[in-house]
Amino acid sequence: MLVVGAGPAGLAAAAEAARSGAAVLVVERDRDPGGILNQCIHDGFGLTLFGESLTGPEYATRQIDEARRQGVRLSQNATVLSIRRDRTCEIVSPRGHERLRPGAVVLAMGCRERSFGSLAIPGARPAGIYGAGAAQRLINLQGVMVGRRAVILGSGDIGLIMARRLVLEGAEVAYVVEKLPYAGGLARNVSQCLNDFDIPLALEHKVVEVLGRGRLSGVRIARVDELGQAVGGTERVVECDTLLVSVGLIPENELTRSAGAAMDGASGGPQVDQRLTTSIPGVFACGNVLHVHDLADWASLEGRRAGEWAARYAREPWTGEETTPMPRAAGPGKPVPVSRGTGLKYVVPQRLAVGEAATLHFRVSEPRRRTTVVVKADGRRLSSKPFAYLAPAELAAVEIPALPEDTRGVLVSLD
Amino acid sequence: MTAAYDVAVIGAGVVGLATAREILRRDISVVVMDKDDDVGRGASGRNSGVIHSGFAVAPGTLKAHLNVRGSRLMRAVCAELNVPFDEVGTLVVAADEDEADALPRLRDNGVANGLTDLRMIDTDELARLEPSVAGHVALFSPEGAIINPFTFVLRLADCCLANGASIAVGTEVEGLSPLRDGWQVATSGGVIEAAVVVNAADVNAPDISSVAGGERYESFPCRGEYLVLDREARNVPRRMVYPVPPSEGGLGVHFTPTTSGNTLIGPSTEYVDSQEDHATSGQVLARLMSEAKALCPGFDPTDVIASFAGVRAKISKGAYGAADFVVEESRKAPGLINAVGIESPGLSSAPAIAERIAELVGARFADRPVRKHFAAGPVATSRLPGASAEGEIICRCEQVTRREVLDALDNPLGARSLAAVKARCRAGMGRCQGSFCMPRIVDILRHERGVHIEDITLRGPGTELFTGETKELLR
Repeated sequence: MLVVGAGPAGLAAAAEAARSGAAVLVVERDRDPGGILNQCIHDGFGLTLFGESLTGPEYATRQIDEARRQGVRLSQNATVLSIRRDRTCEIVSPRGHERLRPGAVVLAMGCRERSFGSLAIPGARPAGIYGAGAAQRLINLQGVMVGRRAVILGSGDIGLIMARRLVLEGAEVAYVVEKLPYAGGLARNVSQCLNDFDIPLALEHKVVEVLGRGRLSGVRIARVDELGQAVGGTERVVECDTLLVSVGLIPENELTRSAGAAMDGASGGPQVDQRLTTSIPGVFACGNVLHVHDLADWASLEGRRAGEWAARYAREPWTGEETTPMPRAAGPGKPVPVSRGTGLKYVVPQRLAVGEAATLHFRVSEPRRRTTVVVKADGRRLSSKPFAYLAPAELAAVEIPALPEDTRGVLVSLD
Repeated sequence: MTAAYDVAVIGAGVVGLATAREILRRDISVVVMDKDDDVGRGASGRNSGVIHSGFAVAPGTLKAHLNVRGSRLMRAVCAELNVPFDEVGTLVVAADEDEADALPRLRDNGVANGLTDLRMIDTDELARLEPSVAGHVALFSPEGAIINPFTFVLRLADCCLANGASIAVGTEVEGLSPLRDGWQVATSGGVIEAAVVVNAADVNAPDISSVAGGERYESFPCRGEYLVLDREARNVPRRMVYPVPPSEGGLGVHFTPTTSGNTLIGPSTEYVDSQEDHATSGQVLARLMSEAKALCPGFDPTDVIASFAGVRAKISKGAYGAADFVVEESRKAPGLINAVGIESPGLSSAPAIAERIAELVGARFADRPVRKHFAAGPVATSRLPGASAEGEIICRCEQVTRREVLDALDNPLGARSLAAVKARCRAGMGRCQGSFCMPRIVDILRHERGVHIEDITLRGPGTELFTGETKELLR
C-alpha cells in the first residue's frame, strides 16, 4: 500500500494499515515526515487523539514513532508526479525515478494556501508579502524573520496564530483584516492569539491596494459592504513592511485530478463514500486533501479509517471495481448520492454504500444559532442532530445508520 | 580603471542582447549593461510572449518592415538558441456584424505588409476552432506564434557570453560624454570607453539619447496590465484570441496561451507618469476580468493565479502604430545608435532590429574579420525549464528539481534573486506562487550558496525579503 504524504492523515493511515498487516510505503516530499505539524510549534494538538495538549512537532513525533513501530517504510524528499487509473504511481526523489503499482493508494497530500497572486490585489509587486504558512515555516523551521510591522490579511487559523507568533518575535501586528463580519478561524484562536495580545481585528474590511515598489511600505484597507465591495470614503493607509496572507486553504488535488478521480467542487476534494474510496478503484483519500479540517486530530482519525479500508482493499479488493467507475463499496447495490440543502457548504462523503453506518461531515455557509441538521433517505428521516451554534470555521458531524438496500438518495439539510 | 570595448550596449533586454549577438558575429568586443540586477527585467520580461505575424501594423512604416522581417527571422533564431517557438496562430474575433467590417481592412493591411496566409473564418469554423470563444466571425493568421520571453532573453545572454561579450547587470548609466573617437560612459559600476554606444534602453531610451546630446524624444510610458491563469484553466482558447482593435489604441484585451501552458489575459492600455510604474490597478484588473468574460464567457476568474504589468516605451500618444520605431545612428551624436520607441511589436521585431543595428555597427568596423568560432546556440551547460528525470522536487507546482534550482542560482551573471531563479527554471511561477518553494530556495541560498539572510532579495537590491534571524528583533 502506498500513502502519499506524511502529515497527520497520511501517518495515521499508514500506521493503521500496517497494524492490520499491510506492507506500507509513505512518500513524503519534505525532508522530514510530519507535514505542516512540524512548523506548528504552538500547542493545542492531540486533545482528541492523545487526550493531552501537544505541540505540532510532539504530535508528529508520536505519529512517526507509532508508524515506525508498525513497520511503515518512509521515503522522504520524494514526490509522486502522477497516478494512473490503474494505480501506477510515478515517483521522483534524489534516489531516482521509479514506478510502483501498489494494491491500494491513500491520498493524503493535504492542502495549500490560497495565494496572494490569485486575489489580484492592485499594486506593484513589492517584497514583504508572504503566505501565512510560508512565513510560519520561515520563522519556525528556518529561523528567518520576515519583517517588523505586519498586517495579516484574513483571519483563518494560520493567520491568527501567525499574528501572535510575530508579536512573540518582537514584530508589531497593526491589524488582522477580515472581509466577513466574523473571524475565519476557531473561537479559541481569536481569544488566545488576538485578544490576549491586544491585536486589533478589523472585521468587514479588505486590503484594496499594496503600496511600495521595492519593499512593502503599507496597505490601503477599506470597509466592505454586504457584497464585499469597498465602501467609498472608508479607505485608509496602514503602514507596514509585511503582509501575511491567510485567505483560505485549497485541498491539493492536482494528483487526484491527474488520476481522473471524480471531484466535488464544493469541498475541493475528491468524491468519496464512507470507506473514503474515491471513484478510482483502490484509491482512497483522507485529511485535508479530502476537505479542509479544523483540527489535526480529525484529519488523523479520518486517516485511520482510510488506512483501515485501504489495507482491506489491498488484501481483498471488493467487487464491482473493475467494471464500474463508481466502486460499489459494500458489494451489491449502487452507491447512493448525498445531496445537501441550502445553507450547507459541503458534505463528505458525497455518496454512501448501502448497509453500512456512516458519519457525515459538513460545514455551513454562514454562522447559524440553534439549528438542527436533518438527514433523510428518500424523504424519510434517518437522523437529526441539534446544534447551539454552527459556523463555517467549525466542521460538524452527524451519524447515520446503515441505509436500506433500495435507497435512491440521501438529503442533508438544516431545519 | 577604465574598461574599453568597441561597442557598449545599454539595456540587456531582447533588443540589446539580440543586437550584441549579431555584432559578435564579427571580431568586435561588446559590453551589455543594464541597471537591473538581471537581464530582461524591462518590457522584455513583461509582455505577452507573442511573435506577431504583422497584420496589424501600418504598411510602409519601419515598424511594419521590422515586424514582418523580425518574426520571420525569429523562428531561425529560436531554433539556434533552442527556444521553443510555437506557431499557435492568431484569431481576431469580431463580436458582431458591425465589428466584422473591420476585419477585411485588417486583412488588407496584412497583405500590404507581405503576409500571404491570412484568411477569414466563418461562425461555424470559429466555433469549431475555439469553442470557448464568443464571436461572430474572425480573421485567422496561422503564423502568429508564442515563445517564452524569459527563456529567449536568457539564451541570448548565454550566447553573448559564449562569444566573449561582457554583461554588466546592476550597472546604471550616469553619464555619456563624447570622446574624440567614441564615448566615455560613466556608470554606477565605473567608467567604460567604447567607440560605439547602442541605446537599447527600452522606456529609458529617450533619456539616454538626451544625456548623450542626441535627438530628443518625448516619452509616453504606457502601462499594460495582465492576469495570469493556471495551467489547468478550462474554457479558454488554445490560440491567441484578440478582439477587433479598439479605436483608442493597443490591441484590445486578448487571450494568449504561453509556452508553459498558462494563459494570459491583457494587456490594458494606460498612460502613466513613470517609466517604472509596474503596479497593477483595481479598476483595470476588474476591466480585464469583464472584457475577458465577454470574449470568452466560460472563463473562470478563480483560475487567476497572478497579475503583473509592463510598460510600453511609447514616444507618441495615439493609436497603435502612430509613432514609428527609431532605429538609426544619431545625427546629433555620431557613434550613438538609437533604438527608441520600441514598444509592441518589439519582441517580434528584435531580430530585425538587431540585424539593422549590427549593419550600422559593422560599417564602422569593416576591417574586422568574422569571428572564427561564433557559437550561434546556447552554451552546453544551459538547461531549458521543465522537469528533470530525477532529484528532489523544490517547486511542486512546476515540478522543478533541486538540481535545476542550483543551476539557476549558479548563472554566469550572478543574479541570485528569487526572480532570477524563477525566470530560469520556473520555480515560483505556478499556482501557489512560491509559497512552497520560496522557503526552500531561501534555505538553499543560505546554506548551500552562503548568501546572508539580509541579502536575499525578491528582485535585486531594494527588494530584501528578511530582517535577519529570528530573535534579533527582541534584542
